[in-house]
Amino acid sequence: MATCEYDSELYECSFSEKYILPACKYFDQSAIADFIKDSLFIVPWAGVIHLLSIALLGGAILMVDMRVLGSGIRSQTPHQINQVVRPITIAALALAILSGATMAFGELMKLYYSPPYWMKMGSLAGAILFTYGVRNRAIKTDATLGKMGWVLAGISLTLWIGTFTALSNTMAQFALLLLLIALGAFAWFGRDPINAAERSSIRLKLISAASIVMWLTTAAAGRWIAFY
Amino acid sequence: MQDFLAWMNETPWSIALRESFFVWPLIEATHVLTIMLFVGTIFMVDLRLLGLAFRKVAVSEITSKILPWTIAGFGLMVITGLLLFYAKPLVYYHNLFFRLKLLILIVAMGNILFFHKRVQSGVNGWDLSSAIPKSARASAVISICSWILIVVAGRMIAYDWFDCEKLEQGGLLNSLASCPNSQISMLVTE
Repeated sequence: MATCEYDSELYECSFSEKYILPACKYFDQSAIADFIKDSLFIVPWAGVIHLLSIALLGGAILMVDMRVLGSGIRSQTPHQINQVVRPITIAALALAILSGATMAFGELMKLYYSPPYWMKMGSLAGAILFTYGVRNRAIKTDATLGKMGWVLAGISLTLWIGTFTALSNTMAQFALLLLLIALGAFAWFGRDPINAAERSSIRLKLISAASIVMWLTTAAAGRWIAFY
Repeated sequence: MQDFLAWMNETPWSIALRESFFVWPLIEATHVLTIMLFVGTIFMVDLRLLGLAFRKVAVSEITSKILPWTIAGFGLMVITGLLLFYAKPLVYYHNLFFRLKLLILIVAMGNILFFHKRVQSGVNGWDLSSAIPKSARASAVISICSWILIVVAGRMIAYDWFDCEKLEQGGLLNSLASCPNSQISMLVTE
């Protein structure tokens, strides 16, 4: 809790009301926000770039995770595939964040009061931490995470669980739960390469399944902003 | 066509779907999110064909392992897309961006057919080669461009810049959107 002031009177308020709301109000009245709001085309085109970068990011992430789960390219190790797609994921993520920020500047105050937006931000932070701090490390070391890896896994999974439980839509929760079960089953029963040396451990498979679910949760929460 | 879609628009399931609080957003979100599976994986295959990624992976391997996922994504997109159309047939039928999207979709489908019939049949000769035939590279470029344009057109469907009531009666865009007379136009707007 924090202390806010209104009409010279002090009252107890939340951290976000004290610090984030004034920042949103400030940026909402900035010249760049006005420019974006006044333009007929910036937000629609930022939306297109956002979608395309999400597609690229999703495709690149799936290439690695499907390989780990036993259904992707088998002539390369997951680490080799990850090295190929790493620049693609970084570029796509940068583009998605840039285009997302552009769209956000067009409706900052609406987003401040939008639970799906904060869910998306939480899930996005979790997905980035998990992908770059946990999954990539696990792929390189065949699921040996180390202390830092476990800490990051804990933080990112907490962020994801927070997002999942905060989803106000029961059907969205149900759909994600179904996906989680399907991916868990896929990790367990998934077709593996015949060569045992190419097979990923069950822990690595579960990490890849979690990676897919985290990115999908982020994208789903992002889409939900429009419906809220 | 107009009469059939007007009838479809008034069927109980169509009304229930477009007025649904949860199902419509869920179908729409699934349609949009499948982009990660469908367009994302197709981009990966195209990048391989252009020699920009996965150069050590045989083209035949990437098409046999990845394209089934692309097809699954496409199937999900078609099913959800048809349901979305069923919920608001008149709105989409008269939407210029929707029509553009369908046109580009035909080009993309034609390119896929060309790829399977002409390009993929001779893949053994250049499976792991860095010298990828021009036809394969051309097919990849057409594929990337057409799916980008489909995403552009799909996103723009949400905007009302070219809705019938905003188009000049008897104008070119009005004709291209097959805009109905003013009475039906009100129905479309609703």
